[in-house]
Amino acid sequence: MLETKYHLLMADDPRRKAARRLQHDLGRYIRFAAPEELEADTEALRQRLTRDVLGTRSTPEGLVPAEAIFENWLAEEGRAFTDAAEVGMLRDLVRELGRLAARLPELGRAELEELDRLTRSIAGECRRLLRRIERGNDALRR
Amino acid sequence: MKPRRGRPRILVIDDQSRTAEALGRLLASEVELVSVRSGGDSRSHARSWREAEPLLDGARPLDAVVLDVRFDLPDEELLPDQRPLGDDAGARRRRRERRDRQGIYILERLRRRQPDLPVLLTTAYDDIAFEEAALTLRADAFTYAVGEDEASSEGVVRALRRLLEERESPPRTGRFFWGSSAAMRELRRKVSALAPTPMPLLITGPTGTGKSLLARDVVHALSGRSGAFVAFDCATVPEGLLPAALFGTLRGAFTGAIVDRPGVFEAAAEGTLFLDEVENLTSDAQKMLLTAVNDGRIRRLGATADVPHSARLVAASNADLGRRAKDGSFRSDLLMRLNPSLALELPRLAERREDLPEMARSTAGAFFSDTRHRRAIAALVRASGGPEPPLTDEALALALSEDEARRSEAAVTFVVPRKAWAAMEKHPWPGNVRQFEMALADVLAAAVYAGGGASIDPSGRARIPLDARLLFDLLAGARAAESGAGPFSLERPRASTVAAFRRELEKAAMRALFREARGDFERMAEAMTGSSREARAVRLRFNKIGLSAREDR
Repeated sequence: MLETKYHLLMADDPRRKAARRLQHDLGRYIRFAAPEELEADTEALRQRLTRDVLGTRSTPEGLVPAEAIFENWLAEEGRAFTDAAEVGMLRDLVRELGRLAARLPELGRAELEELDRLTRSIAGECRRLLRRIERGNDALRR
Repeated sequence: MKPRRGRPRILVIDDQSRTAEALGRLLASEVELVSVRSGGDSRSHARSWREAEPLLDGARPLDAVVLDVRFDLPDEELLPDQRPLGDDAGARRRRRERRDRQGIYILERLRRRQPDLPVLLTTAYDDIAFEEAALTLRADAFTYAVGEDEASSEGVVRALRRLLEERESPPRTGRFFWGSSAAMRELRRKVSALAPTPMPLLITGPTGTGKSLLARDVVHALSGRSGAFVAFDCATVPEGLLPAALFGTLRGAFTGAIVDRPGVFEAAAEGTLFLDEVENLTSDAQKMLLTAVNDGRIRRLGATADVPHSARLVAASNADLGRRAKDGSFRSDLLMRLNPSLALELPRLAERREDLPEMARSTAGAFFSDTRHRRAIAALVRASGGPEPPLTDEALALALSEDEARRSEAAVTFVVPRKAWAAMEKHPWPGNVRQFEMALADVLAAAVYAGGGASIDPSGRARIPLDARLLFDLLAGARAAESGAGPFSLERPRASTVAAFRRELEKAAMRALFREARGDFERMAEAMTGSSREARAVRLRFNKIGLSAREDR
């Protein structure tokens, strides 16, 4: 019974579902351990970014980095978003994030802060994409 | 309040370890995370319903569950049937859907097993369809509501703290009385989940049930918004002035607009704008309001450009807005923007009679907390030959029968005669909480200021009986008002001219009808014209002749 009822409530388009999935898997977890104020201690900042960027999700097989989460999502859902500016922006941001993350153990304070800014931008773009798609759906329903 | 047996026990159900890790790190000293043994490992989160289910029946009960929504699990661990799905296109689609909504399936199972267990749903989805599904299954809170970094671990911690505090919260939030009836527990759960969100809300319920208090003392207080709570009664402003009152004016917009004046939308910036009796908005005002809600922008009268507004809208109505939308007197698109499916519905007092004893004690507590009343009570006890009573909360009590009064340890106990209480329990209370509280406060005041004094027992404790006859009169008066018929008497007005006499006569009549109707303009309109649809006209006239709903009760 729930399956039917819930299905009716959530019966929406694949783009919306895909945007939700991205928000859940990447947007939410890429800054999951971020405190409200940026860590003053550089090693604490590095440690948190290592967890958030290189161990964004954990599966029984091990940790999955943010870059891989996005690439998997793009491979599965990307076709539905060829017209979405946010996805293009995300691709650039994630590429930059991957470049810095590869050298995470040796990054200096300035580069770590840049990496932190990238995680914030990526979380913001994921949220923006979901909200835009939801607003679009609302407009259609009205 | 339940006695606490150590730290609250929290079960995290999440395929990911990150939420449990964060709670373990940030709340280590405040909560105990339930351990899950799987293979040779021990984890502080259950990855699936299969792992979570056996933990619900532990020796010590759980205090809350933190539940994720999307679970990336193999078919055999996915509800609803935990069976392999195959690998064709249909199976892949079903697998995705099961993963995406697994938290909701788990919530449904949880509710079957433990209907009252608080559940925090850690979701990043901020849409109404999802909330409807979750609220149907009575999720208690959503983490996305916390703020800009809603998905952060600190956000989860804040939401969990709030949820645990809520479990042990007092019967009143501000002046709003909750009680413990099933209807109010359900409402409390719903309010906790929705108040911190930015979405417009609708509060419904008959007059006197506490819609304004709920909006101000609960929804606004829990919203975390930094701005003011601004209440606006849509029924008291003449039609022509509504747009200016809502949206403000620029100097010169019309004759008499000599200064720039902000409307209530601007006054409620970053806060809450409460539109009471929203059904009374004219069609033009409804249209303007819809634009403001849809676009997040308003335009002062006389201005050439819109400006953004940041007020959160909460509307209240005691009318059936669904019916009004059908008959065309309320815009259906505006109603939809008020999220009617998530409306906070306040029940009639007659539908939650089990709350009456607690409500009576709480009302008495509020009466006793007034310093003037305390001094008068002390004077009454002294005058009756008793010792000076301590003026603390514990020293003053209300007993709902003579038996209960005999058992009371309080220094001063007010006693409701058993028969009077039985009548109060059966009364229909058409004016709801407001009427109940006013009646009890009136009888308490009568006992303190005009009663027959206190009786002092051998140990020096004072017993003050409440006047049953006065109480019966108040209930009978309410019944007469309910019937809306019968004669009513007026004091003869004094005036020096015929015109002044007529004015004073109208005032006296309106005041008498207002009191009979216990402040309910729909009932008053019914008594005057036979139709509650004239309520708005009655209210406007009431205000125009200089009466005040607050002062003339």
